[in-house]
Amino acid sequence: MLELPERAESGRPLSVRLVVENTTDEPVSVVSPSTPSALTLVVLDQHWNVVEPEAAAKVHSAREETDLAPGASQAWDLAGLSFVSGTAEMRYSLPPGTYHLLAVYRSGTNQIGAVSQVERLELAEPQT
Amino acid sequence: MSTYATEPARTSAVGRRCACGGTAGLDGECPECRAKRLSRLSVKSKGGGEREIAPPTDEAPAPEQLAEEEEPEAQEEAALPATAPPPKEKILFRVVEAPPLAGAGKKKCPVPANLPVGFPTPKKSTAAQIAAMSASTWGITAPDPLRVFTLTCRDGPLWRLRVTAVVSDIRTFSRQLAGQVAPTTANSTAANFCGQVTDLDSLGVAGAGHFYMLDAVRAHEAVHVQEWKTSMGSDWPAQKAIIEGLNVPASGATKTQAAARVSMRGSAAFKNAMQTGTANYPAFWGIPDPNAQTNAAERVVVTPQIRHLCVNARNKGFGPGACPVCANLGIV
Repeated sequence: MLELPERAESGRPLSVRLVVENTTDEPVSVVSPSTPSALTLVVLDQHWNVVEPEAAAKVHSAREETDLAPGASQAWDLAGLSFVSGTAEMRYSLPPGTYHLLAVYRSGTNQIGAVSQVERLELAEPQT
Repeated sequence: MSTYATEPARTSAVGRRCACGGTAGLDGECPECRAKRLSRLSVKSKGGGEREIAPPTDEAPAPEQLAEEEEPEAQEEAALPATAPPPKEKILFRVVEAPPLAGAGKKKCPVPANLPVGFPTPKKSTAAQIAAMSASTWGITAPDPLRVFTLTCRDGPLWRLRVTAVVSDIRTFSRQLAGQVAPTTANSTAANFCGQVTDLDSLGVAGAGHFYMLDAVRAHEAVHVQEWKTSMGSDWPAQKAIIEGLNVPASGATKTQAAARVSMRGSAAFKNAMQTGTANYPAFWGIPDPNAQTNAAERVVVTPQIRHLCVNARNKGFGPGACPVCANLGIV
């Protein structure tokens, strides 16, 4: 699940929360979204075109695992619209406008991943 | 016995002195006196003033890695006037171009040249970059936007840019994670030595609260620095071609060299060409991380320490044979 603020300003820090819930009857091991390839954020513009993220840095991150009991959830606060792919830390710099976001989360290296619901994001002109 | 009244001072392999006291060349005068002599023979244009010649470069300072000053744009040689008295010194004949007629086209821009990219010593990542690191991130490496030095030159009715130098600054930062320490024989015990060597052997994948070596993180980031330097060679020429393809008319608002330079260097195309993101450098940003080279670089650092810890465990009777990492090394 992706949790986004109702309103945000373009160019300002954005609070994004990723919540992963164990909906199975068995405990599962989940990894931090900063683990390479664990999280992909997909951004669509107002015309439903895919917005391309920009590579920001090569990052060397550890794999941090957490065990989730059945029915339990784990939340992570993300550093804005950024994620770590298999090659680099990727970021979105979005001008004011209407966007839709979804997250693809993979808790294991051999998993295809789970997809969040689509969330709408309105970015306003920054208030000076 | 010398044939000279006084032995000439030997300041060079030739051993001759110019009239001013400087070191003379084969023609008997030093470079400074030769330049002064030639300047006295320069011809003024029909307009009565010196011909406008574009300065050699309009960007300063030159990048640090250049060993010497950039060579000035070739200037037209001065022609000897018919009425000038013959110099008393030996004459060196050189082929010179006749000065252009007033109103004729300006000298062409130089042909674009291949230039090496300057890579200064990597810098520390900015405070903002470091602050953006997640708690489980050891290291980051990223190139800054390029620093591109250009020459603004005339090409017929147009002004163009020629790249005279390009410098790429790379920023990198390495750290241990919170609660992480380097494993040493001093902090190795019977209870933790196997965890120490296992953490090292897994290249620290266990994350915070375990053992890992800062030097291994630095070795990993050093691979990314080299990856950037290598990939620039393949992707930079396209950006250079974009910059050197820019042009503005030598008339109207961009009639002067200064205005032309501001216009071209302020253009979106120029600014985009300096960026080091995915669009301009797909080769670098497409390299998987981690990869075989980063892993190998880390292993060069951790493997000797693994052996050292396993041997220490054996010497202290910790029973390394029970630890798979030590057993695989034959240290039991």
